[in-house]
Amino acid sequence: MGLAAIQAALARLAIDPTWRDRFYRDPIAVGAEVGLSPTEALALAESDRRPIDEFAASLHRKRRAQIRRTLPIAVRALGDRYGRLFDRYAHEAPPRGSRADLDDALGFVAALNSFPETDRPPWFPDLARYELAWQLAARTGIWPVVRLFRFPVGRLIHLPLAAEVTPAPTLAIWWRPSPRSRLRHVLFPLPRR
Amino acid sequence: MGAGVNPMDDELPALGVGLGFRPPFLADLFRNRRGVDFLEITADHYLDAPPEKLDELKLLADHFPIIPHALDLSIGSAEGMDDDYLEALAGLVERLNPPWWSEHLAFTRAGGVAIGHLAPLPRTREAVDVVARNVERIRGRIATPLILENITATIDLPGAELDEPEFLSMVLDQTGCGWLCDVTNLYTNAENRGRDPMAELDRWPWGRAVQFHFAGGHRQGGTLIDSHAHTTPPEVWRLLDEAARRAPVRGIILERDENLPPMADLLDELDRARAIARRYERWA
Ligand SMILES: [Fe+2]
Repeated sequence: MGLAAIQAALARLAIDPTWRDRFYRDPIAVGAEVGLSPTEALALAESDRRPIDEFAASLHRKRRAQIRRTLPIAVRALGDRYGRLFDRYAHEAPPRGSRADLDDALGFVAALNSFPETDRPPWFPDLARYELAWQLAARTGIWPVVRLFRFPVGRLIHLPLAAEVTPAPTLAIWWRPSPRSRLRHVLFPLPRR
Repeated sequence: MGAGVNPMDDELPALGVGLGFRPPFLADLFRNRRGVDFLEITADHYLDAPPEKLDELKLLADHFPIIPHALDLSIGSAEGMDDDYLEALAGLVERLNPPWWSEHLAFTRAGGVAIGHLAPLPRTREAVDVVARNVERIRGRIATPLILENITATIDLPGAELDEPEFLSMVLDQTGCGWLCDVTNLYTNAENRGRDPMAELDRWPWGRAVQFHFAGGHRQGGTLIDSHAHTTPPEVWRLLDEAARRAPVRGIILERDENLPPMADLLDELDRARAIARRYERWA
């Protein structure tokens, strides 16, 4: 067994459901994409598939829980829609490692914009971006974090999803006066154009 | 193997019995300092952490010996390890200056994918060589002794040339690393494969064990999951007792991640583990 190839195969099987189905349908051709020899590909395809599916499922659950921990307010606001929206996001986006919880949350928030508004109110992506920006700002040193929002983000926290909110452009800034000092934050309402 | 870990000749200090640190424990820990001899932290949570998180670490380090436990170095990756991660980890180990630190005998990165989950290695001689090569590189950057943890795995990759105890023993021999024996993982793997963990006790490299992990998991369908979400079951206590009888263990950590009980319950489990280590005179 070439170790690099078998590891690459297991990684793809774990993170990519489309690749997983293709591999079990045609192990030799699809296994070759990651460098498996025909013998290796067949041996892997003939070994018990259930534990591999379970591994993939537990990775999926772990990512879902990780984004929930990173964006507790936004995820709570979504209620039981969160699972469905996360599934749709994760189907397209591979995971990014255990240290990259913020990156995964960033990917999820970016994907929200492409989901139909029937699944979430128009202001919801702003709420998620706002919460995420807090997390990003907490981790950066003295570099300020600056974000522009379409909605008055300060008022979005704890709103029910059904709430109607009038757009009002808002500038948000986070900074630390020195690397060891507490994080500061201000919101500026901007004139509507 | 100059930097090898042999708890007998290197005389690693005995740290006692402690907890895997999770932020919700913070306040209770300081109220119960006598019951917790040392802490294990998840290194990954402090690698690019905000100043508040580093303050928390400093506070902990001022009051408890701390062992960093890493998740994502991917010690078994054929394509090598991530330089930035190794560099950040080296910085953390330097700052804490612990008697040892730990990682998992597993891989988490392959083919440009960061899985973010501990994946099992195929139990082959090639995998042993890869781990040995990666550990050499780590030693070039981190001189503190490294100990490796056995993981749970339901996946059995094809091509295995060695069984679990043989694979672990060969890795420890070739790398000179000590063993972080996760007793719950030993039990879980044996149980999930229909083996009796008590029957194969003499096959494990107990002489290399420096630290233990223990925890309780749960059953999902027919499979035991090491969820660290329940109290330690009797079977694991029995195995921990047998492990302490055989190994020159220097520290024991209870891992509890989910479904957190009152601190008093965790302290009871620590006391019980402490009594076991005392029975075999593992430390004063
Ligand atoms: Fe463990």
